[in-house]
Amino acid sequence: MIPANPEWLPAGSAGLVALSLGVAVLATAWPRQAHRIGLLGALAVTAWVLGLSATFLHAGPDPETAATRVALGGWEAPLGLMLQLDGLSMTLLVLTAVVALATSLYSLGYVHDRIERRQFWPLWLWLWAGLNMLFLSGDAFNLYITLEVVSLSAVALVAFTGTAAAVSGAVRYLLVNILGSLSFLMGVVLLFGEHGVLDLVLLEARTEAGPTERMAAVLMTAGLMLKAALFPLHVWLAPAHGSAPAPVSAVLSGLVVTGSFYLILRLWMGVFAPLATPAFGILVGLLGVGALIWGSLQALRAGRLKSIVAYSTVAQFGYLLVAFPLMLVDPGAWRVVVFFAVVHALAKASVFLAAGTLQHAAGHDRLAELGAVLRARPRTVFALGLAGVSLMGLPFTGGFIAKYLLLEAGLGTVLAGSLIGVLWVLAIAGGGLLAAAYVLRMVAPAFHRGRRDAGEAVSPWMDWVPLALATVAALAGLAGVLTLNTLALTPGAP
Amino acid sequence: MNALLVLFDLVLLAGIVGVAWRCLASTDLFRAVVLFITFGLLLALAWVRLEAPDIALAEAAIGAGITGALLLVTLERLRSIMAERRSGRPHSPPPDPTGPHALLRALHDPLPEHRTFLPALSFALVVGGLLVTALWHQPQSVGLEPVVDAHMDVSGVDHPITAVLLNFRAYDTFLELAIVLIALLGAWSLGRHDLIPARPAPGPILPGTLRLLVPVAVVTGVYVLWAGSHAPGGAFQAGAILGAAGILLVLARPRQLPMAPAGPLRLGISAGVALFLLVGLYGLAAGHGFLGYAEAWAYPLIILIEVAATLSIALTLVALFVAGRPAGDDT
Repeated sequence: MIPANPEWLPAGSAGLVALSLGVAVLATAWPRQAHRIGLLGALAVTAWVLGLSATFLHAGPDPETAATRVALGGWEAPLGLMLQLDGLSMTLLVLTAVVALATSLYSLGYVHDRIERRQFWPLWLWLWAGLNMLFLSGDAFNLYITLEVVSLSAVALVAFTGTAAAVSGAVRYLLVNILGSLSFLMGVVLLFGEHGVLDLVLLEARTEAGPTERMAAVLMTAGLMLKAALFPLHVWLAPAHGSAPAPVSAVLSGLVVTGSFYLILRLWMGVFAPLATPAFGILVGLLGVGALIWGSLQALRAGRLKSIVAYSTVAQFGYLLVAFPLMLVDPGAWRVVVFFAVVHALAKASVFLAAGTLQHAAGHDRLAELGAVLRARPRTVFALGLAGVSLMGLPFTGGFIAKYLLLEAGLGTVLAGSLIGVLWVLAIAGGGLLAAAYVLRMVAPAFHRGRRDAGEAVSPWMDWVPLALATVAALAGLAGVLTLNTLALTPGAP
Repeated sequence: MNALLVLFDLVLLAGIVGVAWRCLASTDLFRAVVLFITFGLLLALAWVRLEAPDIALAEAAIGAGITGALLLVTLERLRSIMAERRSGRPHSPPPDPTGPHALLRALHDPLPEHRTFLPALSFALVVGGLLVTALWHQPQSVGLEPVVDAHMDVSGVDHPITAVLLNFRAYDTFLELAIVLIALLGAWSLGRHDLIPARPAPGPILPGTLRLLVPVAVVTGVYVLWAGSHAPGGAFQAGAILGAAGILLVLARPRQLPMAPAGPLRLGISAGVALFLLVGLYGLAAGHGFLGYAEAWAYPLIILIEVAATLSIALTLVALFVAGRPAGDDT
């Protein structure tokens, strides 16, 4: 094996951006071959990301040598803009590559119409490129633009099927995204006006707890919460995610929402770190508890399979909010939060892919009438169940490890003498029970007696990819230490 | 003199606020769109007064011009769809209560204002008040001007804005080009284009005006593009002007759009990003960093990128105006 050289990291990061952009541009210019370009590109980008992560881990264990800043065009900040690769971005890049590769393979079967294929692949490859660029960006204004690339291609993909429900879901999603982006941009403008720099590292060195920073923090966080569908700004999520084509729902719930959350985390660990107070943490935590309860109840009430999954995203993101007060007591807890987000993304994407297969087979996704198809398609139901078990957090799955670590952090808060910590522990444990309830609701009809009907034939991709991704989600617990070690390679973070 | 300028600024401010208010309060969509265009033009004037001519140009060309044209053509389409629905095809399915038709209906019967008025106003006042407070406390920051000025001699161009957009922060500009392209891809994914429901304009006036206007627009566009290297201007503004000329041509013969050949059209809309990316890759390979230039080559490469970007932007804007993807794209 060739020894990995840390000096490859800058070229590797810039190369990843160039490669994913190149694939997207090529598919745009040559739509007739878009699916072939997309497949080859997906394999190439995934291989590139895995190679990059191997090099990255090899450069450890010192975070300062592993983390990389790349001056684009050779112009250092503050004049130019910098790409930034550290443990946090590396973890999310690998997650993106895994989910996106699975989605690409699934789409080979799902989008089979010759004409639809030409429209789908370029948009999807732009979305993927946008996510890669978002995780690599180290500049406040560039973050805004990459967010726009992601949002706009995501909106187009939601509307892709062109049905009335999809278009109205997409229009809502578009308006929410624009509002969120504008709010974020206003915050960027305020920060730039105050400090005259856009680079995140330089900004972090200059910020203090002043009125401008407070206002910018409120605007940027509110905008991102809107985009991440964090409670109570989640109302747009279910119609958009529920009516999009299955691979798009998987990417939206798995990656796009996680991208906005990543930004919130990145900002509050860096630029806005001086502003975080215990009261703020408790407020965010309470929102998280609200999200857990409200999202779960909606998931229990929903009548359509994909709506259940969409509302469960609202509920599961409650955990990420509950983790904020924990992070104020135990700063190292942020790594657990990211690990939870990674496991959730894997599980959620596979649930959506499995739901897409069932919907395709049955021709609809009304839970009450899905029984026959569920009984006749054990492989897909197994994928649904396996990913669901990970969402619930039953032992040996990735979800279990993530929730165990979260609970540990929560108990640590209680032991540190915080009474409200009891609420966080209860929420983390109770959320798992609620998750169990709605996951069982999805798979229970498979165990009833009754008619079997496999429905319409599905391609092997749609049959096997959800199962493969669900297995990855369940086994993600084995990669827990690796993930936490990778995350530790983030300079400046505890 | 100074007092006159202050008076002008006050009138301009009052005009902007007034037009914005009328635009939001208007129940007639056509009037709202026209007011929105006026608003964009006034805003462009405000940018001139703030000594930001580049933004003024962009605002006038894109914010008022192209956006206005897009809004107007959308309105025209809405009207023809509504008329079709009102004429009452007997076997049409009942409208989906959440579908786009519901959106159309909502546009035509605006919500009773009192329900949304107070919350919206109080929200705007609170956020606006906080913003003003934050800005009030802000120091007089010089931003990046000194840094940019210090690097102008190695940037390859003479206009600081162009130096930032095409050299120091070329990555951002590349992505902005990409966003325009993605918007078009999104519009194309929704369906094939139908003929624009335009009222044919009989008589010699439209063709005669076009014969005069289009050459002027082309010369202006090329000038604005060329001026970008040393004065306000550049690819986005030039692209918008050329795009406007294209839209005029489309409007002049609404019933017989020239069938655009699919391959060249796709190449045309992606030429800007493709060429930009190729230059960027060359920079990466040659050791100047991704999207970097060798100092001696900066000027020609920037011009090359700007020409391709102008062409792509103009084509994309015309295609957005036509909305659906051309029939040739599916063969």
